[in-house]
Amino acid sequence: MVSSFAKSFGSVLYRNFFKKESTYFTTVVLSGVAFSLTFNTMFEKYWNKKTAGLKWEDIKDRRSIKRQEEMIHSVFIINRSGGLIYSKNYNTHIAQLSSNEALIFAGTFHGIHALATRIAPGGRSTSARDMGIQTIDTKNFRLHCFQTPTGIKFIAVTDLLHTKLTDVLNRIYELYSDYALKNPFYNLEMPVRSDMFDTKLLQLVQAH
Amino acid sequence: MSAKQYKTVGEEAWKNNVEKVNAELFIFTYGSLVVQLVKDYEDYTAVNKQLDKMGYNIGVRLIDDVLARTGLEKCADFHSTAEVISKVGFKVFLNITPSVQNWSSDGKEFSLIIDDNPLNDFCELPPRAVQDGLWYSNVFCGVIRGALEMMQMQTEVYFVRDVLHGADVSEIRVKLVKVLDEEVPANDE
Repeated sequence: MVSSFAKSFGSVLYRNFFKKESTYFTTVVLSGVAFSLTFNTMFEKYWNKKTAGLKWEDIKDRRSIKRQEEMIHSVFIINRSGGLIYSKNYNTHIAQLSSNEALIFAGTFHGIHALATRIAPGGRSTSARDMGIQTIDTKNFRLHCFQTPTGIKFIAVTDLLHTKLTDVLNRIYELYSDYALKNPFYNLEMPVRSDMFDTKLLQLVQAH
Repeated sequence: MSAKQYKTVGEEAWKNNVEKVNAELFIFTYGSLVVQLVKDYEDYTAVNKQLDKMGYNIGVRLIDDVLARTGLEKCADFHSTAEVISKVGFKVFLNITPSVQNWSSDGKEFSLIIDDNPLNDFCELPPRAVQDGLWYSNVFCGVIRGALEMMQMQTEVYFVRDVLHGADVSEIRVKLVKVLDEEVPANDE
């Protein structure tokens, strides 16, 4: 029974595929193509599954998001008496402070900063006077503050990747002295309204 | 920081970070300004006062420029303040370094001795002006006073003698009146 079935299967195979040389050849070619196609798709499926989340297509977007995170979100300048004289937001994705809130923030920060210089251990000896608050960290951002010897505070809000921003804040100080202070029509301690300052600051922020 | 270090800071800033202008343009501008003031006020004391006021307004802005460019920090005492004024301030803006001399015993007064004041070039005061005490370069006094005030130091700055009055050097006296305690007023608690 078995042998007769095998025999008939063999003969069917022989009659249909091997007898004629052209059919034999086509069979070989077709089955080769079919095998390679299935193998490729199978393997690619397996490969994609194995490397999921590591390939360029997957991380491309994430990299650009990361780039956005690596920026300076906003800049504030506070004058000697705690008034806000400049504030600018560079990131549209984060919550904006209303102008009133920004003023309150400036006043509050000024007060805390002044107190921080006082509670520093080591007392009031002028030589080792504390610099006050230099950074404030939260889970999502870091606030950097640089106070000039004349008492102006430059504040930048960044993500946590920026650890030291002294250079940038010092550059902002230079821009401030160039484009605000040297303008004869700028009144000291008053809000900075200068297009040139805006442009230069934007260039500086974008470079970081 | 020692006096020598301040000197290096001043020289570095002068070399790298300062835009230079034609000295004669500067001298003539200042000269015509003084002459115009003399014409307008017809009183040399009033002119001195105006020059001092102008200097003050320059000084309160200039100080931030110096600090931003040199990155200097707050001075520990008045002696180093004097060094910074002569070796950084005057160096950066006028390329001269007046010597600091004649300290008072309490360390609150000193003199800046200027041998070569660029503003004096080409200038000869008429006898009336000398007699009534016009301090031609009185703008310096204002600048120093304004700059120090921004650093919480209240000072009196005045000319003692001037080359233009026949002295062999010019001398500016700087007197510290008091250090204003910063930021939080004393009874703000």
